[in-house]
Amino acid sequence: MGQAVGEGSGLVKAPPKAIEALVAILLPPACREEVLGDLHERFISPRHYISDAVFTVPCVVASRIRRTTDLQVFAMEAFAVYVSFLCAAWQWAGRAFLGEQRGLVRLAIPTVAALIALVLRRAYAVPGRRSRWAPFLDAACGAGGAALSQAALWNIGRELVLPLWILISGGATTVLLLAALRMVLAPRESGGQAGVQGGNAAMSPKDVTEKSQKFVRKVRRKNFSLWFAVILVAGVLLFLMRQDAAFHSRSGWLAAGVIIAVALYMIVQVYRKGWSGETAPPEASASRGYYRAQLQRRRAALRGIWSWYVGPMLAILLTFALQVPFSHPDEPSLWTRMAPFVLLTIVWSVGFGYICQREARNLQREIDALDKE
Amino acid sequence: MAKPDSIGQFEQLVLTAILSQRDDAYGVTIHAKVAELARPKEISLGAVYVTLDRLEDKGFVSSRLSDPTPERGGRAKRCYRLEALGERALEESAVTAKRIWDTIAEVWGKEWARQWGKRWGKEAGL
Repeated sequence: MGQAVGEGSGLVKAPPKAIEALVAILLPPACREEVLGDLHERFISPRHYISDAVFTVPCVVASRIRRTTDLQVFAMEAFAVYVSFLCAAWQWAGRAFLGEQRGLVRLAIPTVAALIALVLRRAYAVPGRRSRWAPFLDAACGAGGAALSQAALWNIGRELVLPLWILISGGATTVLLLAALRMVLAPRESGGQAGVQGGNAAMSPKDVTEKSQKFVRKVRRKNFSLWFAVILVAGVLLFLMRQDAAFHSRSGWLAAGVIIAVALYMIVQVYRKGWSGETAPPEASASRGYYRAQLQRRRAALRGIWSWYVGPMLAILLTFALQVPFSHPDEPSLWTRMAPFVLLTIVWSVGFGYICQREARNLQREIDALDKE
Repeated sequence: MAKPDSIGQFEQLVLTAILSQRDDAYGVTIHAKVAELARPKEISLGAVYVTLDRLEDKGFVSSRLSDPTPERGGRAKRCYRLEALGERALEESAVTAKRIWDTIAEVWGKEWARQWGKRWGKEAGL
């Protein structure tokens, strides 16, 4: 084992080609070159090389996942995938499926599998090479992950497998929603230099203009995703309420009215508070003050996210959650059956609020770095 | 004046290793220096990569790919450089470490500190 490679007058030992090729496959392309080179340089024996690779590759992959995953986008994707399967289950199996057959847990399995597939696809993407079909391929990859999880479950525990029609229609909706999300929110290219500028040199007007324009585009993309989520959630809930005859009552119409009103409020608020896409004259966009004002505006919006986005979204979801048992007084068990949905809603709200606060802190650091120069 | 992010002990070690390697700071040399600084603890190459990525995200270091070399199987190195923010963070943590040392020496006595330093150095193989 171990190959001797001629190098000038002496012989240099090199790792076995097969093992090196296997390690190359496991490493994300973005850091493959340097990590393989480092492992090659440290080569002593095949056993040492394997142990080095075993301890190094998982760390490199985990770090790459951290760098390429935008938590806000990830939360949106998780929401979109889960809602897709939830709607499909509601449509094909009715409400009873969700409560009586551990439906919410069963729907979470393909969701988690789809998210793992998406995260890995992002981590293993070749930097700088992204085709126009990439959003669809990403989405198909997510749906493929969901299908694979069901195939695996078929062999382990069939009671957790989703009925075929729920899987097909949920998967198809997942592809559509994820592709739309991916088109609006292009994944982070490298994940590096997020937020903080640490360069030695002060930024030139050209740098300021570039950063300013890039920031405006980023904010615009994120606002599109916020709009997308409001419209998706409100649309799905109203659709579900329309499907169920029990909602066609006075309280049902009231709940629908509340959902529409709050959704409209959120759409307007996203435009007013979150939008920083106003066009500035060329000389202004090159100024540090303009860029700083953009950062401050976004920071303020993120700090108050509970008042204009997370809070109202929570109100929409809770209105629906309370309306379900309220519209079916003959089924008192619905109160407890909706508990996981309510819990999930609260967890999502707290998680999303935390992500936004963290982003606000990053922006504060960037403002500080700008002031320092 | 803007304050850099606070850094952990392992990040301090990695920043110190980059500083000491100057123009030759890449995965293998940084790991070797960190392992030397952290003795007798075992340090994995993977942990160094994770920390380098995090430091790069924080803007403490920057990196570039060098030309490929034959001893690396014709592969390039990713060379790291300390940025101003990283230098300041390292400076701050060095000052803090010095203050800790001075306080301990003041309480337990200079003679103890001298002997302790000698003993610890011996144990660590310095």
